[in-house]
Amino acid sequence: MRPEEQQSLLFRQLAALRRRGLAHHEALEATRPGLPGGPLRDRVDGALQSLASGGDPDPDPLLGREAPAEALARAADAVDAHLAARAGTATVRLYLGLALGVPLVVWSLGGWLSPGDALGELGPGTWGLLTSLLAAMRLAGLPAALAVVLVVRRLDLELGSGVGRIRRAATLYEAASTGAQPHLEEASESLYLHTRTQTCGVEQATAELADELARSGRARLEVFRHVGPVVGLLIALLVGIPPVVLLVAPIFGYLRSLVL
Amino acid sequence: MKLARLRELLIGHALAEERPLGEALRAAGGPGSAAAAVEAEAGRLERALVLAGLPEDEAEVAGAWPAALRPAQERLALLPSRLVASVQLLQTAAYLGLLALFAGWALLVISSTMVPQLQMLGADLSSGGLPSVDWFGPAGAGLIVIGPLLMATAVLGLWFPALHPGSRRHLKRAREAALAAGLRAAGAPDEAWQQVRASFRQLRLEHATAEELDLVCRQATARAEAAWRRLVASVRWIGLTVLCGLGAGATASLYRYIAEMTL
Repeated sequence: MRPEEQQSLLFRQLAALRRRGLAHHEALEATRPGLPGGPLRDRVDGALQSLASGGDPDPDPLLGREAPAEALARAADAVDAHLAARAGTATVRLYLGLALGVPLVVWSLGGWLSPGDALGELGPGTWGLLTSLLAAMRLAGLPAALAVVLVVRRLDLELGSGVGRIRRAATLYEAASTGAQPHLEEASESLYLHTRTQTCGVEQATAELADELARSGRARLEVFRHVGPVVGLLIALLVGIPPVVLLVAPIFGYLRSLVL
Repeated sequence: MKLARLRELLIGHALAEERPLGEALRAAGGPGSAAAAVEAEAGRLERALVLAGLPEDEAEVAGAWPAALRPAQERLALLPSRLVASVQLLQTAAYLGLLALFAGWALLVISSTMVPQLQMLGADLSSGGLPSVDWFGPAGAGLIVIGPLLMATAVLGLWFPALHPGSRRHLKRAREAALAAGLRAAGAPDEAWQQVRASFRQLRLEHATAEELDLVCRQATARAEAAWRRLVASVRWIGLTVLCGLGAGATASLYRYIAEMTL
């Protein structure tokens, strides 16, 4: 289990124990034995020491104080949303990398595999331009594909995948769990928060907004997971088909010579 | 986030907390809010909610028992998006369409390059009685037409996602169960239930509790998803079978032609 997943699980366990009436330090002590050694266990140990001494000037913002069950559950939601956003970003990068990288590899392979003599028989004009391009891609194709993959790995593109919403939901969950003032980007969200804060408090209102953002973001991501490969494949085919046609075309000439 | 969606949520909260809906609508703003606020202040709640953009069935439930809207919204948010179901079909149809295009292109190329040469050779070598390979061209052209049509049909399916009768029926039942569970969870009296009962065409559970209705909702949702999965799997396998059959038929025809020609 990844450290973030472990952290989410810890927060959910703590929230469940707090709902059952355990004090915060009791809940921490109950979950501590199940934790593997590492930063999270150190954090729990530090929080227990801080709670025991009672005078830590800089306690852990969540574990080092008497956090209510709702705050712990929202902290778990924040971690889960961060994980979902990270997975979504990886999906976007993968599809984009494949859509742009595969055609470049095909062009490069086409450049190396295309028989120059057979291509020459096809005549000048468009074919001539294509063969020049293929010759250039012999050397430039693979480095270009590698460069594209490296650039895409660093890009933080959303491409309508809903990742941005999930990431914003994670930030809002964090704000709701620590009681911090949330930072909102859209007027409609500010309006919602302002209206709801008057009746249920800023933390509950922030959590509601985060729930809605996470729900719609996940739905968008699900759609992207199905539409993205189709669009990527279409791009790859459109860009990568000319060298394939060039490679296949001589076969028919060969067949014709066999038959005739 | 869309203002319309957040406004729906604000309306649900306002009704659950028994706050004046007119004020909430004016504060939320957006198209139709002013007219909806006027209707709400005149006591025509259902009309106000429809003007504010809520679906008619939600407005009807809220009109019968206003506090039921929020618990119903919470349950409706958990229902699967019909768009998500549709894009699975779009993906399958797009792949099949692309395969059909490639298969059609290959058949056309074979028909225009190899088949005439083979037929010339066959006329020279054989005394007749050779099997026909004339169908390659029409079959290839047919596939080239069918491929884009298949993709276009799937894209159209995005806009009419409930065309599939099985999933439509189950999704409708899930939605009705969610609305009914909202009524029960909000403690609506029997009079409120009677008021909306006629709208629940697929649900005959007057005495069910909120938990039982939630269970019905989950079961109907699971059945709708299963129906979609079956549809997508059927399209995938039927399409692949047809394309494989065509490929096998083309290969067999060429083999047979060459075999008969050389005998």
